Amino acid sequence: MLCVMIVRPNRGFKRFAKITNDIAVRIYGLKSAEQQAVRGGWPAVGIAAWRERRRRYTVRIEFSQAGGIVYFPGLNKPITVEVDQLDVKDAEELKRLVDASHFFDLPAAIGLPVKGIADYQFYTLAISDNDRQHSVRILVPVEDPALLDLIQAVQNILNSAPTAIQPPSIRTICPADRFHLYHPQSLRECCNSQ
Amino acid sequence: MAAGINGVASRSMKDPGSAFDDPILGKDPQPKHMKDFVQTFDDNDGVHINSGIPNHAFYQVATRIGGHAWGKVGRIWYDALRDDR
Repeated sequence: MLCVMIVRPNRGFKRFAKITNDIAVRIYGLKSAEQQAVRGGWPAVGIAAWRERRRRYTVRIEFSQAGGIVYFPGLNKPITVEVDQLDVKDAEELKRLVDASHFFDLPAAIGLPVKGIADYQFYTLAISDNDRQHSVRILVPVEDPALLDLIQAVQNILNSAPTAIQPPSIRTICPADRFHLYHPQSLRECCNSQ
Repeated sequence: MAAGINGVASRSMKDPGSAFDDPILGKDPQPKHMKDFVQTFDDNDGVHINSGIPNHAFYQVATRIGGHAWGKVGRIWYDALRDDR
């Protein structure tokens, strides 16, 4: 019977590297220059004995809208949602919707208005996470269902989670026709009336 | 190393693999990075070959700390080698 020994190169070296780190901490202290030198030396030879702390994944969504029959400068200011300051459930849902819409693969502009008509409305959605940022200008009404779900979720957040929103805003968009801007109270009245 | 031998030492901790290159001895086989780890049954599974990697780690740490190698990093390595884990 042929017996093949499998050499496990990394195991012993890694363990030893960890021990050197522990000893550097014991002798010179945590985060001492000596410990930092040990932690820097081993990776230089390809031995990562320490699990690097994962960078916190953060998502920021900036939402704005423009167009319509009246221009209100104050209402056209972008509103930023710090997703990670939301409730976990809302944050996870927003991240899921960002993925589902393939937002980072979308073109910079979606929908072309007919020439000569001045009242079209646009949403601008800019999303950034740790590694990417992308901005999309979307003609209303939104035809892509996944993108529409994302926009509606953002709108819902704008209405319900003021602590995650900068600056605090009272504006919202009527989900019934996805067109006008109202005060939340007016929105409810608007939607209830439809 | 010796008259007629092309080499400076049996090992280099600063640059493993560069200690000697000689028609009789051959070339220093030590790697200095895990990506070049030598899988072999020779040399008792390559213990004197792949030791270039932790040796070079010692060099890396020593040059980061500065001073005499036996002062601080030497103590760390000595205690680590004696550790019974």
